[in-house]
Amino acid sequence: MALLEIKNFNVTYKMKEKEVYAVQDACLELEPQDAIGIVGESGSGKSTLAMGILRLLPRTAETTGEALFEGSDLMQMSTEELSKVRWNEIAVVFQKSMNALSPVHKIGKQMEDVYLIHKPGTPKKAIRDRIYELFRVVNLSDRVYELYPHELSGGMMQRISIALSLIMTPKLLVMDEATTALDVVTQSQILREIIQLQEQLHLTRLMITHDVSVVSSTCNKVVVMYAGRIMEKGRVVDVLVNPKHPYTQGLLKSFPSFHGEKTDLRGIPGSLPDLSVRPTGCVFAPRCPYATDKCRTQLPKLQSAGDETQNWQVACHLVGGEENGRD
Amino acid sequence: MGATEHSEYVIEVDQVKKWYVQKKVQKKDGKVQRRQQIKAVDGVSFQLKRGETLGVIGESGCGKSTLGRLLIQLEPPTGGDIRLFGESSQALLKKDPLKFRRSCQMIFQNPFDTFDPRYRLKKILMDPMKLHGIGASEEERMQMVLDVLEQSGLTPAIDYVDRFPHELSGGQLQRIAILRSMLLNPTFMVADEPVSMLDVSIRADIINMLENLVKQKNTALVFISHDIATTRYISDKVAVMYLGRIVEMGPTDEVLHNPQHPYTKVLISNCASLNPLEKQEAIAIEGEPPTPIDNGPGCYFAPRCYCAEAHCSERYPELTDIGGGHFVACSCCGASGRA
Repeated sequence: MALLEIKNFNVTYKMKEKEVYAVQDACLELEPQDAIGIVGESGSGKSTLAMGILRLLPRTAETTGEALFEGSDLMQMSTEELSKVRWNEIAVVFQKSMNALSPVHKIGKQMEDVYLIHKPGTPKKAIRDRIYELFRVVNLSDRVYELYPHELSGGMMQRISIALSLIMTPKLLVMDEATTALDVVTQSQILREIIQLQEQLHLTRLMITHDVSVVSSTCNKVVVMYAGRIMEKGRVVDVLVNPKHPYTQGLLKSFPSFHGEKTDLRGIPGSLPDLSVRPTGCVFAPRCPYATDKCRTQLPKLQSAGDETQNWQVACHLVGGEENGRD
Repeated sequence: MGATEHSEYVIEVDQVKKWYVQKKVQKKDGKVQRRQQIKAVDGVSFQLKRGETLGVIGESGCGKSTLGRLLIQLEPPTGGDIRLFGESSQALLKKDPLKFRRSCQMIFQNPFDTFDPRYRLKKILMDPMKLHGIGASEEERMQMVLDVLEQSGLTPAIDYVDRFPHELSGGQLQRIAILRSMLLNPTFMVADEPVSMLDVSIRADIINMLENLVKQKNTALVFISHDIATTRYISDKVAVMYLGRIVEMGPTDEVLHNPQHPYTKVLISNCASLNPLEKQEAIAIEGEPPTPIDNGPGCYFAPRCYCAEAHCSERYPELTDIGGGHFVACSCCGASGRA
């Protein structure tokens, strides 16, 4: 059984004059010990999707659809039920964890508080041991316990928030741009540690990032989002090597590569569409170089590409069209 | 161009230093330490010809942004010399500030903070030209603005000039920032992380545009970035900085594909590849870059270096040419020669 199953998930931000359709018809399954990366430009709805699943969105956002975590729908849970799941089962690491730490309390004290909220009445000694254990997991020295956030570097604080998210040994870890603000060297240090952690603790991981190279080096599956919709999903070795959707192809081309020819660097012309207007056809059609009339009038559905075992799905008429023609 | 005859280089930087003084430090044990010097930039030298692009890469805190600010005299250097066409830039700034500012332009990281939110784009673009006496009349300046906007793909240009900065996206604003600098025909330009705030899908276009303009106008460019792959696309030469010093410098592909300094090797090996099939082993190093206070007499990188030897911590290695204009400051790999 899938650990997390998202079915027809929609998020709409309601404002006075207009509604913004931030996530539309997202379907996603996470098997235990998967590492799924969600990539896309900013404004493509990747963070909204993850925060929507965790019900961390502001009240102006309206969500519909199901998010089944081990069979129970997160969307239907009461506040008490939800608070049992949060941190115990699902934990999040945010992008700017430095802002999440209180500047006037010591790191150890802040971590104790989190522990006590979830397991009240635990003796201090036990908590302290658990925290020291976590420090070792994320490569921090024990003296951090007595330090204030301003005494730490950005990389150390990011490690603290990863340690903090693991404090209750969750099954699912959501990382929302967790390494984006860091340096190349620190980032790859932390990513390597996360992969090791995943093996040790049997975590399932959902990585949200705009950096495709992070996904390619740390995940086994990838979901490409654009303008609130899933464009392509599948295994990293399939999608990032032979992308089928024109958007994925464009996204990969716009990354400067380290090897090979220098000339082939191209951006995708145009910019994200207005999300408050429901498009009639494919959302990517206005920027797509291969768009046909069918693309502009009919919304493509996610269809499987490749064979059964690959579990590779693409939302594009051009990819699905070939197969339909053969049938 | 009378000035070009004085020197073949647009900019010559000679042992430039910027030391910040930290006045009072309360130590943990209650002691107060006075006057610590933070060596943000500690002896950097390079030369640039017309139309050349130098990429400066390094971790955050290595002094690359400070170097950029020194180059266009936003901050006076503590020591060393920066010469533009053979003349000291500090003297030039004193003699004719307006002319100096026109010839040295800077593009900043965050395009959202670059413009006055209350001005329309035509004012934003035309004011600097008016100030520097470019174009005879308002109409002529307007025409120049419209021309460059059309060329850079902001079409129809006439729609853009009446807009306010908040009506444009980050990529469009960064284009405007580059155009505004370029309208003044600078001889030397510094771009400090110009694409790190932008989306990946538009980064490529900004890089291409910057590269074309620089080539077209024959401007010398210093491109500061922590993204090695992006730097590779735009630069002719690359300098790798660590704790205020250049540890390796040379032609782009030579440095990036045949790195000699251990620090450059670490940086490059940590750049994850897009292709999941080509896994490369990243070289792991311990710790984070230390603050540049009281660096030892030896190589600054020695405490974190994976191949440091005893003599590394004795004296700082000289930047030596290992052939083809490829300079390395490492006492270990300099001896072994080219691999």
